[in-house]
Amino acid sequence: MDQETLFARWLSGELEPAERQELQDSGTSAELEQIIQHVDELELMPYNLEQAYQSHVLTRTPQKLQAGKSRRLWLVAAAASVAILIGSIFLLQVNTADIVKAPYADQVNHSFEDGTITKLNAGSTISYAAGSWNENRELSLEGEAYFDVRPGASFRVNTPHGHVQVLGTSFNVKSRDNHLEVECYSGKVEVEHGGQKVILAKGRAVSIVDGQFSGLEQITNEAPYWTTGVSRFRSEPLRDVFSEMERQFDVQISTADLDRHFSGAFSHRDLNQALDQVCKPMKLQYELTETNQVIISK
Amino acid sequence: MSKGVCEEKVFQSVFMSCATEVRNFIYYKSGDMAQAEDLTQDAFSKLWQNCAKVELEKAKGFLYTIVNRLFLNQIQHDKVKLKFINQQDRNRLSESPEFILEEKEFKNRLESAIQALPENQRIVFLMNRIDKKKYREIAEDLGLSVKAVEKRMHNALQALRKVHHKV
Repeated sequence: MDQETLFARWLSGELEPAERQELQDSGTSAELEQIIQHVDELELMPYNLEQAYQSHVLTRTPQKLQAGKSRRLWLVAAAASVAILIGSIFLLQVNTADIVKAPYADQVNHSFEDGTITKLNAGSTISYAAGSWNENRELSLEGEAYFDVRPGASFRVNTPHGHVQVLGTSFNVKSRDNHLEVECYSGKVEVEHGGQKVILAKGRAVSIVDGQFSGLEQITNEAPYWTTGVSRFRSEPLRDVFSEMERQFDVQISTADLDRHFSGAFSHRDLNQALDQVCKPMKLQYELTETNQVIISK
Repeated sequence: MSKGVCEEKVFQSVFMSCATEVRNFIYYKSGDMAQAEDLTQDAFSKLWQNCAKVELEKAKGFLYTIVNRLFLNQIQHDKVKLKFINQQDRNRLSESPEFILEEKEFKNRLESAIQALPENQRIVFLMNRIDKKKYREIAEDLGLSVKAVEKRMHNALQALRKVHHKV
């Protein structure tokens, strides 16, 4: 028969009986079998399909949406996690808006009826309809908040700049000035701006600045830094850095040189230390008055 | 009639079902996993750009053609070094250390022999053994006859037999 394909047909079990006998008698089958047995124990590194797909989705979305004019931004993020709650039954509930506020120099924890937890950063506010929370998990956010969302129906965060829809997870939404930043710590989050959507997987972050999505970034923190007493920035205008410092310490900061960008962090423990952490690398002087005013100069 | 792959869901399912084998195909050629994954994603971008023109049934063939073309445009590695995850070492408690050592040596020689195979044979052989594809499927993906695939398989096995005859 066909000698050129003999071993291939042996392997796929397509040999004529005579051929098979011959290979067996010569000891060739045994040799080949041992090879195949070992080769079949080999595997390749698995391909992280989810992640590859998401970074891929992001890179191709821009061309999708050039049609719509995206002038102003904005965001949507959402998340869900893992427990099933048996909701209590409420017969009649008056629909009032609940407002939770974190004042300057304070962070506030809040839990919702379904077990979803949020942590508000200093100078942030959420409002939502408490009476219908179980039917409609939707809230408005001004400022910055971390969410650990219970699994269940959809969960939506509205901000002046866009909406965040949760797909099951924990995530951080930062919406300040013209800047939206979403970090996802578990599960998935969908961020939408205009017609453009990005799905963030665990360990990914994305920001929208002036209406433009940035590339996906990899993050290694498992919760937002601000919940651990540190504010961290990735190349953000000094203006925003000092605004955050004002919120964390409830002080007023006046400064001239605001257009440069700062990458780094400051601690919430001590104002002087925080000022050092930002001013030293940026070669700025600061002066702290008795009335909690800070003056920054070159 | 078949539509293209412009629908997000359709496109995603093509990605989920084909991306690994397309990546592996390039990996067998280059031994460079980062490059293989990059090119795979590039090939899918091309598919997306041409989503209206490529029928669903032709999507896989399109991907193989494109990824191969992208690969040829790149600087080639002179030596291919493939890395495998080895599943051995399980259920080995009852075996003697000598035996385990021998097995290990055999395995090392085998992996080197696979890397030393001519590219054509290596690709076909690994698509069959790692991706568990039938000769007919490999033939379709690579645009070869089944007979050509069988010849490459035969030659690959012939070459690998030398690991039994230590030098």
